[in-house]
Amino acid sequence: MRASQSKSPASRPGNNPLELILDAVVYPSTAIEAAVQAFYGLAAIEVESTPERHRIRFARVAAEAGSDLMDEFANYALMATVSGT
Amino acid sequence: MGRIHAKTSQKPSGAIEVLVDEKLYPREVSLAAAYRFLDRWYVRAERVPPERLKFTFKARPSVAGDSTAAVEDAFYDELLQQFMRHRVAEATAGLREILVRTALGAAEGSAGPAEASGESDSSYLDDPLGIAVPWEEKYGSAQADCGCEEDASVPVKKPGKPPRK
Repeated sequence: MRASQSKSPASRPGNNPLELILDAVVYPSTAIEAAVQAFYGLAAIEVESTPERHRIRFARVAAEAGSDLMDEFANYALMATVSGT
Repeated sequence: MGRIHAKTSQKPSGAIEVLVDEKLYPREVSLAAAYRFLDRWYVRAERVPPERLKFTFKARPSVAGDSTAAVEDAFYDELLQQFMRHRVAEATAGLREILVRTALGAAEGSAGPAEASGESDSSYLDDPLGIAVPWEEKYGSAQADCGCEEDASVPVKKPGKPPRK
């Protein structure tokens, strides 16, 4: 699964891409997709999924996203996992 | 009970790790328990072989005052609660299915076959129960009942402006 988004007007220049790894057995792909859609606009998000894990990269993070973007993303993915979306 | 079957450790960053045995607590139970903490903590889950689930709790900046011991105990409590809900849901699944089936069957039985299929001949203008009949037409006027009906031949003096002097 790949999801990318290039529009990020308030991005912070020179930011290194952030990377989050989530267990693919615990977090289904549908939950990751739901989280990517929810965070669309805050960063350019790219997802690479294997049967073992999801590798999620955040680039061009918007200034208003805050420093807890990855934690918030993981929380959203867990919420989507439990609610079955 | 939770302390016996789950292990906790605190990382240097202040985050807490809790290991839950999946043989004792099914995955949906521990995930449902973790779900209850999402508003106050950042929670991540990952598998740890063999058959364990590791939860990492990191305090949100807004609730940094909460003690780590408190979240640990609260998580064990929540695990037990969710486990009990899971057991009850499993035990009563058949009963709930029967109840829903009976309720749906009763609802289908009350509607006629024509109504159920949407082929009714009646239109919205029909009034079989007489709901649209005016009160006077149905029960007569209240004035006629009390015998105080106005006599049309007698002029009624209506209040007006006082005469000028």
